[in-house]
Amino acid sequence: MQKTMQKRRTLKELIVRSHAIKPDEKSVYLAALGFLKEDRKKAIREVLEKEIEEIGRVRAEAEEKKNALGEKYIRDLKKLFAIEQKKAMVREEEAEDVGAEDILNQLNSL
Amino acid sequence: MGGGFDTFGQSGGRDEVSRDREDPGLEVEKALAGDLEMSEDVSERVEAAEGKVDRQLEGAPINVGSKGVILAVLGDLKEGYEVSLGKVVDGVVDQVETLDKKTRDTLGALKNKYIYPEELKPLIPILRNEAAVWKIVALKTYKAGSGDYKAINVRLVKLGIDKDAIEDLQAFLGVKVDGQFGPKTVNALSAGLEWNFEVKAGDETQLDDNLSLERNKIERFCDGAGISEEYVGILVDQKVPIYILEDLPRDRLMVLLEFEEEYDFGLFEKELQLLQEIGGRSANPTTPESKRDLSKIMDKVKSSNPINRALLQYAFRNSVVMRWENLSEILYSPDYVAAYHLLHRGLLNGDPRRAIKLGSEIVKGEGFLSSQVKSGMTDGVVAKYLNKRGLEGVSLFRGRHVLLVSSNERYFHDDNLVGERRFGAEDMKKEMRESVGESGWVEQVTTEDTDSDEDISIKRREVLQKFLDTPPPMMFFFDGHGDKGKIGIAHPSKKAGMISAADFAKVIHERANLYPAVMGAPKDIYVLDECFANEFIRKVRGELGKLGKVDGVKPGAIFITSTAPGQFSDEEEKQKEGAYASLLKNKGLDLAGLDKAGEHFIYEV
Repeated sequence: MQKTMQKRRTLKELIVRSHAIKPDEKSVYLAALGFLKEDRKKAIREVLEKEIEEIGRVRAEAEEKKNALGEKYIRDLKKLFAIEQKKAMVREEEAEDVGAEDILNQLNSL
Repeated sequence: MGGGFDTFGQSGGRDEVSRDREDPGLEVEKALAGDLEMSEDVSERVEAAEGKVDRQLEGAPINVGSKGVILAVLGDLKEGYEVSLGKVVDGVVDQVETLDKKTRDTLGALKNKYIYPEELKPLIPILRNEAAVWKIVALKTYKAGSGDYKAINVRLVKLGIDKDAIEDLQAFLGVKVDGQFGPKTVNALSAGLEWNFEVKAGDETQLDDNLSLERNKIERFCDGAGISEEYVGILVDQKVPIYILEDLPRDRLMVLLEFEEEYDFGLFEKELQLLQEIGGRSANPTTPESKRDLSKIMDKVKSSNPINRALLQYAFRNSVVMRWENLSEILYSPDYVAAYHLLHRGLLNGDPRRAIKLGSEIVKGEGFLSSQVKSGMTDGVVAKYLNKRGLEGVSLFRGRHVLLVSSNERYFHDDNLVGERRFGAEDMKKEMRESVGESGWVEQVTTEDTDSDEDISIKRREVLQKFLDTPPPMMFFFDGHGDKGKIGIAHPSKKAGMISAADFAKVIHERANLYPAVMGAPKDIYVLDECFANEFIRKVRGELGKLGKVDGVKPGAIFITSTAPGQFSDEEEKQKEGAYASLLKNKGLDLAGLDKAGEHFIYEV
């Protein structure tokens, strides 16, 4: 639905926006618009529209993947932090217990 | 702490990934940089999550050593995440590269498929049909009244060449336009293309269907058209390739025509190159390089440039045969170049007759051309010579309503004049009053040293209003600064005082509406005693062009300046001896007389 509502781009816009046409070639294509026949323009339009559509698709897919990666990273980050924090606390408590035992042993030896 | 993991130097993985990817895809990646940024909401949430963890870690009841261990673990996680992110980016780059290649290949195929090695032929529509060309030249001698004209034209129609196409060609060649191929048309065509044959009107018809054609031409044509050689002609001699032409069967003809349709498209790249080169006819035809250039020019002439076409049509209007030598002669003639420049500037209503005539006058009249023709005539030169017409009887001062607009500056760079008013001085105004006589008057708008920006702005509006209100015949005399295509009633640093060419042109245009008299004599004149007046004039001309005509006539204006294109004002060199001082010496003259005096540049825009 959104696609059909979108304003149709002019051929000039398509050429300007094209990623495949090199910048120095764009002027050639733009100037050619003055005398190219309609069917030739149509042929170019089809190619460029397809290009934009395909690039849009690739970008959308990439966007989706990046979002998914971001979400996963946030989840993993929180989870890992919680685990690591807990592990550290346990580790420190155990270290404290070991320290207390040492003191008692030293006292007993006196 | 804050700022996420980067502050600990634990991360930066993404940067490293980017550096590692210095490869052929980098250019594409850079081009896509904007699109490859993480979407804002996710990146924000990642950042927020990292910040939160940072803060929690800071407040956690564990010792510094443990915090370091946690940071290391989280750093590894982040690095892994960024490597994955980098892979996604790489994937996009690869996919876009593949897509680009595919698109370029497709576009290239659209272009290259139809580009034909011989550039010339496509430029004349009828010549795109090679088979038709052979038919055209098949009759060597035309017997008057024998019906042969009709016969060959019937054959052309069968090949898809209609009367209109023939008429177009005849118009281009400058021969009689009757839609029928006769000896004159064929010979003009032959000469233009450097073909080595000539047809005649004779006592009897001679058919010359046996044509010696270069083998590669035939092969190329057949290959491109997707037809076999037999449809173009039958090869009857291997050693000296001679083909006998045959009529094309209908179905093959359709293939041929379809090819020609597609062929149009393939032209655009080469045709564009030619179009882009038009105007660069600076070569000297006596050098070897330039002889090669001639063939380019030939192509240019036959390209779709309407100015060249119009000029050549006129130049060859009485010619039976258009020869290569004639073409080069004309193309390099200063008259032609001058005419081209006149029409190129949209002057003379595109009339080639007037352009060539005036071009010739320009060249003969002043003998200035050899260097200027090579480098291209400047706008100023064209305009100056144009103004030799219609300036008779246009008074310089007498009877004029002078609007004297001046800037507030005082002399500072001459010991004798320091402190005196530099622009619009009282003695200048007084002399003007005397010069305009009883029927004229002088009104001055000037800025003063004490004017604030607001005062200057008000005076700027006053200038434009008075400029509009002053009835013709008017002289708008500007004595002040010019800068970057604007004129300033105060120092150029005061933006409030700058009048743009667009505003100026609007008033000129509006005056044409208000006072129809400004379109005729006595015309309004505009004296610009300022630096870089030409830039301003050029811009005014451009703006006037955009504003269009008034009652079918393009409003014009006559500008007088003492500065040549690109120069500072005369005053810079001669101190007080500016345009006005030298103008006064000629105050009794009309504009034609002033032009002859040669101290000023007169431009009509």
